[in-house]
Amino acid sequence: MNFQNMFGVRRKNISLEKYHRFVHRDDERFYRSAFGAAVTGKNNFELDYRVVTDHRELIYVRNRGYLQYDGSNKPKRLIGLIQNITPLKQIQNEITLINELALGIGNAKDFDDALDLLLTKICEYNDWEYGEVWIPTAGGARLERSRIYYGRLKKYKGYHSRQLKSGSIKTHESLPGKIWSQKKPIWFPALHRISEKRYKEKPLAAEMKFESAFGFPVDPGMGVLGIFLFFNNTRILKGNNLVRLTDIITSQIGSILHRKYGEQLLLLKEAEEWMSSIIEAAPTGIMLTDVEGKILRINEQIEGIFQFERSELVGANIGALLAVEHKQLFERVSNGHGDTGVKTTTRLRGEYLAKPKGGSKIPVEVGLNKMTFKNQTYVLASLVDIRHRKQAESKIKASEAKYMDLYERSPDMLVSIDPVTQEIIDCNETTVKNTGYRKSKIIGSPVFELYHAACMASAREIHEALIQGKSVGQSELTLQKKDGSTIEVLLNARTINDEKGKIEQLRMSWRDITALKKARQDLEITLKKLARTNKELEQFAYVASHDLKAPIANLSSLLYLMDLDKGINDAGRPIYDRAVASIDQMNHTIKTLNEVLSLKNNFHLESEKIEFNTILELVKSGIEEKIKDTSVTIRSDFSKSKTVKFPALHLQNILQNLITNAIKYKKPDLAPVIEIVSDKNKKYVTLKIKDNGTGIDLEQHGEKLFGLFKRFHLETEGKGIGLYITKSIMENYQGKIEVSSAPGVGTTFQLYFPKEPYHE
Amino acid sequence: MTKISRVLLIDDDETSNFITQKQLLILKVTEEVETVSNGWEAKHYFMNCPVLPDLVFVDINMPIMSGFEFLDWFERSEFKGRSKFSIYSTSIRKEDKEMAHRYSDVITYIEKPLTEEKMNKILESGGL
Repeated sequence: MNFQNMFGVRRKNISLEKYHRFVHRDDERFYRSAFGAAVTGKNNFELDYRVVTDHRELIYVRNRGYLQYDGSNKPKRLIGLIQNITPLKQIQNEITLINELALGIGNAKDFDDALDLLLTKICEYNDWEYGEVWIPTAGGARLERSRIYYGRLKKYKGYHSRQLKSGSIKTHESLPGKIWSQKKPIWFPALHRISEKRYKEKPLAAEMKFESAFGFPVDPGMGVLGIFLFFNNTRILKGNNLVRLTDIITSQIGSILHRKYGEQLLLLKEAEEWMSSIIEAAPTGIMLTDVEGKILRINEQIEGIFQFERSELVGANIGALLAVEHKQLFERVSNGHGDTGVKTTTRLRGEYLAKPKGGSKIPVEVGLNKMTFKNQTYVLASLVDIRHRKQAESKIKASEAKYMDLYERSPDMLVSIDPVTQEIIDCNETTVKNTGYRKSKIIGSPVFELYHAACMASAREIHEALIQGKSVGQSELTLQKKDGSTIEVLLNARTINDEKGKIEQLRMSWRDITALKKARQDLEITLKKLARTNKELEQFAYVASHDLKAPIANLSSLLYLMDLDKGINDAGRPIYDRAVASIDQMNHTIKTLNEVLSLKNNFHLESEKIEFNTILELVKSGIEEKIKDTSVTIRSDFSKSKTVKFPALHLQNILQNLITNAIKYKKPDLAPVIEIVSDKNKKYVTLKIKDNGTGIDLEQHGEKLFGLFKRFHLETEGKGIGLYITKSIMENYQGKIEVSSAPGVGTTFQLYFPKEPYHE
Repeated sequence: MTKISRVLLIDDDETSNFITQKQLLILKVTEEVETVSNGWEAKHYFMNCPVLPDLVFVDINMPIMSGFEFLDWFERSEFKGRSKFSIYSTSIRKEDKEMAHRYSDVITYIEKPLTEEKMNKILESGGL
């Protein structure tokens, strides 16, 4: 092989000085010092070094030679021999490399470490400027740049980290994609000739002055583990050796790598099992997805939230579980495509809507964390069903609003007062509305400015007492409105104390009782009037009955004395008798009126718990003779209500009235039977008095039945006040009396005694 | 019937006085009945009469001085305990009855007109 073939240039055009430029820059220093030593020495020299020819090919040369000397022992010429020892050197290097790799990979602490070692050794051995590794994602759908890289110079570190940010690529994209698809080593001898469409990293790579690249898939026999990609800024190397090296690496080192990968898988499996148990035990819903959003793993909580079976969820996309409006949520974290224009982050937390089975949306708190584990990127999603929290929140909001509403629109004026300055700190709308002052005017003003001068002293007294910690009851005070008019208020006050008991605030409520007070005054006036009228009426009735009674009694006595003195002759006798009868009748009427009046005097009698039976026995013994004479049967049943709350005297009066009535109005040919039965309902204790007497035509007499001096049977005697008195008594004690009757059948009176103690 | 030496009627109702007087005579209770028409006159009667009446019928409602006003005066006077009274009226009010019992010299309370029966009750009451 001549010089020109080897170096691509004619030998005669190359001086010894010019020959230096062929020496590989890494060997230049070695060459200069070794050659310098060689040409000064007396012996033959032999140097191995690398050169870069004008073909831009790197070759290993062995340079041997010696100096020829002239007779005066001065160097005459340099005899040199340059031999291409590249194949030999390669084999030597390969053996060393493979040994180192085998040893290194075996000792590597994990798969990443092994890859790192492999990459570095290959790059160093073959003079690559830069090398990187691409790893398939968990789903195998994309390729991702590994953090492992080799860079001969420092600047490549920046390049690598810039490239890392651009994220993953699809398995058919760019240079790694091509290698992945073809599953064989590929040369890219002239990067500038590849279009940017097929080589995404082209602009950045151009900045680094990368001219050529070479890549191969690492497949130790169980599928491609990764892709190695190397770059150089020369267009050198034909690469036969590299193809061979690839073969060697994949066959010789592959098995070691495979074992390492196996260990890794085992470790991964353990880690995964460990992680699994953690995920499963988590109190929140946990999902693990790949960067595409494909669900890899879920826990039971997730099943609970979404109401889907585990089998339905694993393999599905997380996007389908979130509401449409949160479509970009996952991408913001995963940034799967890197071209969505979505602002990205590695972690995210917030409240979103989820779509469980059935279609209705539920609020969930979502946490998304992007994480890398053993070269794989995952997204860990945590989900908490916050329906209850949301509900509680809205309830609290509602109750706050309700409370505010209650506070602002309270019928009472509510104010908070500073205990030291006596200034109003806060007040509600009602205070503003009732006083007529603006809220800003009220707040900050001393509370006493709102009181009317007439009650100022008592207001101050109350405030003073409050501040001293005394409890203050309700008091009636007067406020003065902005327009000068007054509001009568009922004051309720208390203090708000801190935990040490120190008074923080005085809280007051003023209830507007102006109308109430006015009504009360009006009522008092009316009551007084009524009492006066009543008294007058009573007096009138008394005077009338009394004043009538005296002359009538006199008249009666005079007539009697007249007869006694034999002042009546036979002709006058019938007239005299009629006069006596008329006077008797008048006497009787007056007597009855007096009875009614005296009954009304008894209306103040208190109710007491009395037994029906006791009263009935009293009545019976009172009219014993009448009972015997008319052979009346009185049946009573007080089992349903034995007692009643009523004045005993009145009940006795009523019972006697009704029983004597029943006897009085008996059928002439039938022995009277009276049934008396007690009962009770919600409001009343009732008493039914039923007879088998003549009955009353209620259609004709109903309205008059309970009137004063009403008698319905001419043939019977009676004052005609019994039922009037009965009704008066019942109504006076908030009770009532009802009657039902049919002529010829009998009459039933129903008495209702109120259960609640009656209030006047 | 037991005789009473002297009876006084205090009543503004002249007819009533006439009847009562006649009745007393018919019943032969007394032979001497004198009448005054109100408390004021009765007061002067007591202060001027040589012999005090044993029994006095006194009405309640009278002009100038009522029966009770007269009794009030009588209780505090030198005559206390020396004459007995029967309140007699056309109507009996509970309050009046209660009132009557407060005076130690009032022995009965009767309703007009005076009858033999009522008169016997007065005599039997033991106050005379």
